Amino acid sequence: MLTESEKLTYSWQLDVPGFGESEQLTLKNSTALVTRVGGLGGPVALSLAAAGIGKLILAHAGNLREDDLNRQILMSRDHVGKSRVQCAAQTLNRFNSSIDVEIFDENITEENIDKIAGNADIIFSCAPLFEERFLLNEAAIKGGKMLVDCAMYSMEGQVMTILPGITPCLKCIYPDKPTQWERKFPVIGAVSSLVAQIGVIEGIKLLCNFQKSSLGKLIRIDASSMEVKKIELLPKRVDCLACN
Amino acid sequence: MITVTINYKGQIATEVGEDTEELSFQEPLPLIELLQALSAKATHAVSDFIFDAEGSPRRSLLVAVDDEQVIDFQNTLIKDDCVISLLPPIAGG
Ligand SMILES: [Zn+2]
Repeated sequence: MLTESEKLTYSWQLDVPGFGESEQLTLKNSTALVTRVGGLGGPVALSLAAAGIGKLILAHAGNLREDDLNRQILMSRDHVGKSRVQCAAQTLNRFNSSIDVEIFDENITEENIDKIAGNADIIFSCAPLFEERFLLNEAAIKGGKMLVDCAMYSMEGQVMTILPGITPCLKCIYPDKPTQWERKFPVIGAVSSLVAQIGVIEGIKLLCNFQKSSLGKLIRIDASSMEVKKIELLPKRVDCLACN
Repeated sequence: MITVTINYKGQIATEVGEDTEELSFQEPLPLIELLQALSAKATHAVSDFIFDAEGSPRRSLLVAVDDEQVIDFQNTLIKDDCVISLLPPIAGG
């Protein structure tokens, strides 16, 4: 049941057609893993907190640097040199004290993924390395968890929602390890945030079985032309190493 | 004569310096031949996103024709007005 306070807090979104108390309750009873909490993961976590997700698990290693500040909006200048994930949790707890936030000052690895992702109902993959994204993809498939893969580069972004067993996965579209991706990429914070919001909307639709998710499609966002397009993906690859 | 549009995305667009280009061919052609023609006139960096050192199309490059993913480059025929998007993998967070 929603408390009277929760009904008041979320009253404006409870007016959205198709999104009622049962959908709000689903959010309240859901756990989302967000990795990492930088330019993309930070706004993902913030919007999930605003929407009333029950629990957030955040994973991101290391301390805030000055050159993170153009996009990592859960952190502020006085946080430079401090643990990113601790600062993110503080901001989120101040923003919505009714949600649980569990933090890991670690990036996803083969060794820690079961511990970090094990209790999540949905994973928001926002890491800057394909190694982490593929681990999250495999964990989602193995655990039957929903996955929203959000990525950006310069003025572009993309969001792919993955339902294990039903949709193609990240390995289906990138069967070989992308060797040309570089860890340092051009980024305006607003573009990361834009992509993050599309990812959160897709995640809420998936979690709450509300409206129509873009399953089997790759949502492409072009902030230069201000176009949002959907690429129709082929079904799961029969030779996909992750799906099979 | 056919004319097609190539949309360059991500790091390929950065390398090309443009995000779109129109190309003309004598007649409809398989996608693989279009990619080979594109690669032949491109810089090494651009070509390297499309083909590996053995000349096989890279499986980490997502290719869409008229907004539909294509993996069978031999048997996909490119006709007049087709829009071919080259989407290299991106993972910025
Ligand atoms: Zn797959």
